Parts: sequence; structure tokens; C-alpha cells
Amino acid sequence: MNWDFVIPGVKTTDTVQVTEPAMNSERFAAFYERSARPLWAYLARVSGDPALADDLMQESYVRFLCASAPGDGEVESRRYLFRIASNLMRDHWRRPGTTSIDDLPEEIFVSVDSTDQMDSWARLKPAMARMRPRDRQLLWLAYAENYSHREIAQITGLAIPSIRLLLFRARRKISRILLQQSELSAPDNRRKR
Amino acid sequence: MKPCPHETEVQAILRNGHWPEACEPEFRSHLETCSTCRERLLVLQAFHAARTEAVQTARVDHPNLLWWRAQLRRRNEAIERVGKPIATAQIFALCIAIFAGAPLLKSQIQKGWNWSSWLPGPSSVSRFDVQSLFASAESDWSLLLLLTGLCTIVLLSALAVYLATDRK
Repeated sequence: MNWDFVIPGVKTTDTVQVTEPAMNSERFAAFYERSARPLWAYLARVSGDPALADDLMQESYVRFLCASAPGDGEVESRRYLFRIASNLMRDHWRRPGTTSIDDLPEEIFVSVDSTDQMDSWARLKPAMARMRPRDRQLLWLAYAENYSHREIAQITGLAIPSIRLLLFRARRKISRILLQQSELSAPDNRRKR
Repeated sequence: MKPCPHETEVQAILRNGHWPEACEPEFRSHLETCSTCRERLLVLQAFHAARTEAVQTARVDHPNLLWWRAQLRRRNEAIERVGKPIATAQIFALCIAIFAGAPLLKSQIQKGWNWSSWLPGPSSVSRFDVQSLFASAESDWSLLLLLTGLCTIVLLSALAVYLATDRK
């Protein structure tokens, strides 16, 4: 008896039909090799929490593979992956009971981040900590990943004019903070010499 | 928010590693006068350096692990999709059983649970035997119908409850 006729959607075959993934394992391994590190960098630096970045990165890839049409080509796939990661990060911040990165004291980041000793991040981290999460996202996508406004709009879901304005303000703010930091550290450096 | 025509140039110079030594003198003099490009250069430099360092220290798992996790999730999602109509059918069966049982229960309450009246009295049959039960059932069809209906409801309800709990 054909149960499909009685109850629509019921498969009478022995095995459950799982739709084929868009990428095979070899193709995925190659794509992962190229995209995992930049994605981790994005998640870790924007969230300020490397442990959270590990979790979100895994979830991003699993969701990417479960998606029916993750995008054609490397660039499109990578953008789609960043979009998933951005949404996951936003969900994490929105979740009740989750402490926003802005509310955490600076010491927590120091203890969690083992890569703190590095100069570039040590210089950028205090400035990033003073930015809003969305601004951090936009700044990283625009200036670390070199994404265009159109691409950022696709990743974040914001409108292009909004991105232009938000990015302009965020850049102005972070550059001011960076300049203040370099001015503050300049007398210290002179004293060291 | 006035865009500078050299904005894209800043990005290209930095990406190609021309800053600061291999940079054109014209661009260098432009930077002295243009605060937007100066600002952009400062931010780009900071983010590029932070990205390079972060990419080097990134902790990445083996891709096969994620591949199998995704496969497992896809399979579970497919099973869930298939199970949804079955669950609906189970709920439907349970509703039917309740709707069939409720009027019967109501009628029995109205009759005052007087089931013994259907059975042959103790005067006619001195002891219980199957033949007398069948004989009474033949004479009184309502008893047979009641027993069949009750059995069906009990079986259907048990099946529906079993299937519903088994899925969990």
C-alpha cells in the first residue's frame, strides 16, 4: 500500500532519504583549509572570546554544510559562511543571560585570550573593546577582510546606505581611540629609550 | 562624510605591501593634507596586522569531524521531517479514540453503570460457562457491541500512547 497517498510526506522506503550535501568531503576539506582561519579570526576578534569563537566556528560550518544551497563558487560560499557566523554571533549576544562583551571587565579578556602578548592585537584590543559589537563586526569585515559595502550588506543584512554611515562613524571613533592610545604610549616609549 | 578619490588607493597600497617605503611621494603628500585617508590608513594598518596575527594563531579542527557532524544533523533533520506526519496521524488516532469513547462513557453514566443487567441473571445460570455467555450475547447484541467497542478503544488508545511515547 502506498502510504504517500494516505499521509503526504511519509516515505515508505527502508532508509530515510537524506538530500545530498552541496559539497563532497574533499571539496569541503579544501574550502575549510582556506576559510577556517579567517573565520576564526573574525569570530575571535569581534567577540573577544576565543573559546566562543571555537564553538561558533564549528556551528557555522555544520550549518553551512546542512544548507541546501550554500552558494556557488568560493567567494559566494565564503560570504555565506561569514553570514552564518555573523547571525550566530548576533544570536549569542541577544540571548538572555548572556553577558554582552561590553559589560565584561577588561581583566576577563586578558585571562581568556592566550594571544594577548601579540603587539598588533594588544594595540587594537582596547580600542575594539570600546566599540559596539555591530561596529566591531563592520570594521572587521571592511578593514580586515576587505569586503565591499555590498558584500557587508549581504553578510550582515543591513542596508548599504546604513553600512556606509555606520562604518564612517565607527572608523572615525576607532581611529580617534587609536590615536589617543599612541599619544599616551609615546611618552612611555620615549622614557624607555 | 565626504569621500576622497584616493580612498581605494589606500587599500591597494597597504594590500600590496607598498606602505611605507614603496609608496609614491604624491600619495605621501596627499596623506599630509587628507584626514580621511590618514584615518583610513591607520585603521587598515591596525586591522590588517591584527588579522595576520589572528590567522596564524587560529585553532582549527579537522574538517572530517565537522563533515560527519553535519551529516549526522542532516540525517536527524530528515528523520524528523519524516516523523512529523506520523506524529500527526498518532494525534489524530488519539482524538478519534477520545471522541468514540466519550459518548459511550456518557451513555454508561446515564445508565448508572448497570452492566450486570445485560448479563444473564444468577437464577438462569448457576455457574459461569462460555456457552451461556455466547448464548446471552446472541440474544442481546448490545452487549457484544459494547465489548467490541471497548476493546477497540482500549487497543487504539494503547497503540497511540505507545507510539507517541516510543518516539521520545
